[in-house]
Amino acid sequence: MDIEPVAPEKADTELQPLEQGYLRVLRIEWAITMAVLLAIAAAVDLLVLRGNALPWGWLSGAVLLLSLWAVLTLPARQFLTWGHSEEGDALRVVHGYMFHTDTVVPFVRVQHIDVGQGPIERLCGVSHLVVHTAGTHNSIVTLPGLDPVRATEIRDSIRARIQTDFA
Amino acid sequence: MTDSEGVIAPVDTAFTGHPRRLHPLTLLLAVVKLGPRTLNFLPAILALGVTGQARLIVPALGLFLLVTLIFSWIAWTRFSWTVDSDDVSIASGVISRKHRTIPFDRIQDVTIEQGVIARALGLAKVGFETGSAAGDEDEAKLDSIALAEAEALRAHVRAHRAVNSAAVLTASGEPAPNAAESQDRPVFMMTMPRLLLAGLFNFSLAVFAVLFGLLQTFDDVLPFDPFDADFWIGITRSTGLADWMDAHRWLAAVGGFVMLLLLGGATGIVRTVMRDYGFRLDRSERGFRRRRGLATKTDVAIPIARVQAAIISTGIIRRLLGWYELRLQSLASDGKNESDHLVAPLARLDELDAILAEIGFVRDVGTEEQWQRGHPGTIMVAPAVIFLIGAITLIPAMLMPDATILSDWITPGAGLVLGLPLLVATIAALLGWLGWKSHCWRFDGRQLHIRRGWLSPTHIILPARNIQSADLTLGPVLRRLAAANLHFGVPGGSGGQHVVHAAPMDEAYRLRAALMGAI
Repeated sequence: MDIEPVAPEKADTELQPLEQGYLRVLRIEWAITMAVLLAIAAAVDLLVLRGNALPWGWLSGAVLLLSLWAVLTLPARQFLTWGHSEEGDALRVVHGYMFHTDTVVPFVRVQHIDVGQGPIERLCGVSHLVVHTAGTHNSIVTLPGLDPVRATEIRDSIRARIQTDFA
Repeated sequence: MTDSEGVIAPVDTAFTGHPRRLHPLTLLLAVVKLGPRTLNFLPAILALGVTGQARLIVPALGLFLLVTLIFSWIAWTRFSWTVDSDDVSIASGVISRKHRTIPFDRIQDVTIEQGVIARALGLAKVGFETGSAAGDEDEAKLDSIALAEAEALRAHVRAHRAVNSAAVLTASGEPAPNAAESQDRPVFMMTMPRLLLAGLFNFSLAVFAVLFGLLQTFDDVLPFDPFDADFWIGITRSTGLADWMDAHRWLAAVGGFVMLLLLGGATGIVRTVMRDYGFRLDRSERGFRRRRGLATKTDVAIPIARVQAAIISTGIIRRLLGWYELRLQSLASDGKNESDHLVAPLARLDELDAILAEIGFVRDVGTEEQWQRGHPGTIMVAPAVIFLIGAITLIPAMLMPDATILSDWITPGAGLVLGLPLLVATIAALLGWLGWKSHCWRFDGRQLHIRRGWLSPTHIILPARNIQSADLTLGPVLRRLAAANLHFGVPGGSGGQHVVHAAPMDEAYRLRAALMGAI
């Protein structure tokens, strides 16, 4: 696959990949999305397209193929674009290939921190970290796919560096 | 973390760091909150009554109550909060777990809220206000704990803050505010001639939109129909105006245009005078104090500590004449419609510099080489897209066997088919070039300067220490050009204006590293 993290040499620190468990999270999420689409397609096939000139069930078939492609290839591609680092004085979160985002939040600018785990994440043994800043643009930065212990460690290390900066 | 037994002593104000639960009576509150919602069950109850199964009504309601209690109880057991030496953490969620940490240093204030029932039960809802920009529902809440506990918690947090801010003050060696300095000192004022000039620049044809809207909404505001040409022709004929207008068409057109200018100018002047009459900006002890207004007088305080960025803007004509306006982006917003505080509606650059100097901002323009520019490739993006879309849609139309729609008005044929998109694309390229030329930025080691816009040029001065986060984004087009946009998160304001567009990739990373280093 021809995907590499964008311009890693520009970073002052090496980016770390997410936990493998997050790949499974992505796969399950894609599977759920595609299952919903498939159900809609099947309903349309059954109710609307009955007696159509085209062979019966073509829509469901097409969506099924699309789903297989999406579930088998997309999660891996998405997973590879993610990267993060907590070196230095800032949290850096990188993701997306087509629309690439590379966010840096200085630890001293963090207002409060969440560590969370949804049902799918629990199934795959990963947690996510959310930092909130005071900015009006991009005030919530989410870093998914962390080992729960590591997430707590990052939380604590950010926590330790938050100091009063207003008098 | 949540499963340790959180037995709540009547009022335990020591906050030793063990997990606590919400007050058990919260369960009762949850049931009470259901009260209004049970109205939804009226149809069901009616149905039971009508079908002669009235004896089921009470058990059905009871079951509903029981289910609610069980769900509230599960949520209650999965919610715990802990006060440590310097932060509050809240663990919540039944299926999706969330563990939030709020450092005391980030808590601006602790709110205590009591409804009627909560008051009767001696409970209170505690909210932690942080500077976080997210909406209210995202703020941390304890719903509900005992009132005494809530008050103790607030005192605890405030005590911590008081100690810390005192420490910061002595550390920076800031002198105590001098009594003599607390006197307000005028910094900027709008004289009447300048106010009128500002009004002219606020030229607006909005009055026509208002009139038009009125006419649309109330058909019979006027005793005649102004959109009926026959009505006007009738009037002009009967007064002999028609002959005169026929003879002096050109003059009539000029007259109409002058009318338009006068009306637009008058609208601008009235609006500006209403808003900015007696405009006066004072330097007070902690920041600026702005007084203005004719009918509605306003008196606004703008503490320096809350100012995040300065925005100098002007118009294409105003710039030629050397006039600018200055706004300050602050944590608070300036009224309903404006997010930034207007501190100088119409001023010369040296006057702006004087205002900026009061708050430690410098509008240092530097030399031409110090300003960075975006990738010039972005100029051609919009034209290329327009040209392609135009060509793709028009060529098949020409090739259609009965291309009557086009061939009626494009007789020369294929030349114009490509010519039309070419013309639009050229205009787009010109606009793109103007936009590219007017956008530049520069980091002077302390403040980031961003300039943008040719129709209404804007110069933003953003001190690096006010940047909360930096986003480097790029899509398919910028990837090809090896360039990226840099968005900065800054508190207050409307957001989305602190952007450096299409910086070459190296420059984008270099600039961000420099800004982060300056924080």
